Amino acid sequence: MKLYKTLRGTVRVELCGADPEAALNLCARRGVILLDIAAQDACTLQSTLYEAQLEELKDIAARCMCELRVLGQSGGSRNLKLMRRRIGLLLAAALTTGLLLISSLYIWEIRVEGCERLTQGQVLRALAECGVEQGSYWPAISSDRLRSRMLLKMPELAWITVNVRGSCATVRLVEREERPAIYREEETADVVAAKDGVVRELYVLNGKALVRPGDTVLQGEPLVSGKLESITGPVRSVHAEARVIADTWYEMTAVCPIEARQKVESRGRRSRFALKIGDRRINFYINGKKTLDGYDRIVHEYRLGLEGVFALPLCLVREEIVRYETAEEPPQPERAMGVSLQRVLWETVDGAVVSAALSSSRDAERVCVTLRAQCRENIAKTIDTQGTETSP
Amino acid sequence: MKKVKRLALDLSERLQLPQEALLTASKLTVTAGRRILIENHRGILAYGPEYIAVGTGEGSIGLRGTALRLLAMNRTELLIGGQIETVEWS
Repeated sequence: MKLYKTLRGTVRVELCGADPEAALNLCARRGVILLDIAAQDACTLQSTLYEAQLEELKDIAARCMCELRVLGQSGGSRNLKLMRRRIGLLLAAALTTGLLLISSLYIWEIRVEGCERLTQGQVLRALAECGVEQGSYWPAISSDRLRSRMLLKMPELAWITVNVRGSCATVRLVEREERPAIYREEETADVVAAKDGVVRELYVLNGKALVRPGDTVLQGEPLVSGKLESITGPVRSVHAEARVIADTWYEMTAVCPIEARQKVESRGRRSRFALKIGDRRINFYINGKKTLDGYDRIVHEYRLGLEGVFALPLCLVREEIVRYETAEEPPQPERAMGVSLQRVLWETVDGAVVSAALSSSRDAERVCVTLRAQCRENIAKTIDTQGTETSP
Repeated sequence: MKKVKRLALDLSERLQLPQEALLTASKLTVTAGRRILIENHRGILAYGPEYIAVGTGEGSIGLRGTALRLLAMNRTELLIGGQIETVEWS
């Protein structure tokens, strides 16, 4: 409303006479819109009206024998007069608006949501091959066609959709669920131990158990046989399946030199700037390709636009160049090594870690950290009769 | 003329039609005692910050209150704002 008033231009007037109400009524009948009418006294009224209706009000005031006085003026022709002196500013504003409108028809930012096994880079590359990349004209993108092409290109996808809002394209995808291991009933297989351990629980789904809880087994030892013997008939071969939970023991050792050096920031942090317009980059510095030994480069990117609404093809890049020196690391690497070993253990074990203990020893040059752990995990491994592994 | 008006009034009551639409009778809508919309008015008779009188086909409506102000007005409708204390129908 305020913008509308500013564009049309308003005038604040004072009506003074014996019967200003008559002027109000005549204004209503003639369609003169009066806003914000305030009575000053019994004979005086102040009001605001649109600039274009001022002449009409003057006529009404004369008919009602009222005196009309203009108190002030804003917007409309007054603004135009002011703008005439700043024609360059007006042109720049019009040009910017035009560029913004044109720019909003192109995609300048692509977000990918829903990636689990696939990486965003893989999806973005496939999208680019399907014609969706930075600078694509989005009204020409057909969501159905894109979905069909992407599903053909990436069989890992279950479905994909692209929503464009402003200049931001949001790609939502759902990955296909992994197929379970499928085997033929007639393919015979045995279950063997994947690791050394003591069997604690045994769940045989198919086949004949060869071990019992409490038995110690070595890696490769058969746990469940796929051959079922019968006193009434011949030996029947099946695909053995089982889940065998066993206690296993691990011992991992890591060795590292006592003397190590680490980076320490020294004086001399400075910034340099670049501008990215679409795919092009303009560096505001020289020797950009020169490798910087002894310096770290931290890149910050600031994209112009409103987050989630629209994006512009302009991106300001600030590179922080941080000078570093190497200094001797405090000689206490045992803790870090222990944490690293525990991480490796968790990635290796297909179950739970029951207990773990760290021990370390050091000589003049090296530190040696050893992790000993007891775990409870599934050690069943299915292999066919030819010796090929069929499922983990 | 009075007979015609009476007939129209009877008709609208029997047919349960809105009188303001059929007879251009004045309609007053008060919102929270701070805003009054008068439809089918016949012009302002008196205007001040404490008293506003509005002409209607059947007589006049007098509004008393404080900081009364005419917010908008056209040929048929009139919007008044302010703290309204009393409404008189005469």
